[in-house]
Amino acid sequence: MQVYVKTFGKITDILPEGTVELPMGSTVAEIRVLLHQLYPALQTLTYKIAVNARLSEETIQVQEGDTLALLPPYSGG
Amino acid sequence: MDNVILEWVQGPVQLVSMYEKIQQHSTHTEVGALATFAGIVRADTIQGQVVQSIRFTAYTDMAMAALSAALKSIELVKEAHRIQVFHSLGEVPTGACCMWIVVESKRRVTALQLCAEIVEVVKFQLPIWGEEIVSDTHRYWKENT
Repeated sequence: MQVYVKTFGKITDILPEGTVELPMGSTVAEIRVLLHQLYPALQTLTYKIAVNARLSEETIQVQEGDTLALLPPYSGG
Repeated sequence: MDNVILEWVQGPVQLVSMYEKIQQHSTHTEVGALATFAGIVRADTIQGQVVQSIRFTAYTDMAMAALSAALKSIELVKEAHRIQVFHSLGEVPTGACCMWIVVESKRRVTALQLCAEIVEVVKFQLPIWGEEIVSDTHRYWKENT
């Protein structure tokens, strides 16, 4: 299945935004492991994952066409 | 939350026009207090280089829901007449305003306390990121403390 991965903050220095091919039924935790394999620098960062603009539990299964956002600590204001 | 407004501003928040906007709502006579907070881009020094500007990005699709969720956990919000949050996107030079918060309520204590709490919400709970620009070739991701 394909999902769209959005990146923000310092994560934009590590991986580009775009479509990623994942095994059907992947959970957020599994996607995190996969991303760490593809982009080892991600392992050094703390970040949350949102699915379709909502912060997600690690056990949630991602669906075809979903949008994932990788969110490092916020720094507005 | 119909009384909560989150608005994005391209570049610096122009405070003069913001105050004019408030003036237009002075017919809300049940409001007895209006507290505001302006966040200004500071010329910090990072590794010997002075910050020239901050470039802001945000996950705008998620921000309003994040603000609403954060405000639900603040008891005083129920007493607010209106809450407005303005935040910059794009580049804001040092000395300019990047965030403006306006809280209107019946009484001053509510407005002042809530304004302070909402500053913390914006800095730590809204998906916004700042990139401190020190030169044409060097930049650092801002970290809030």
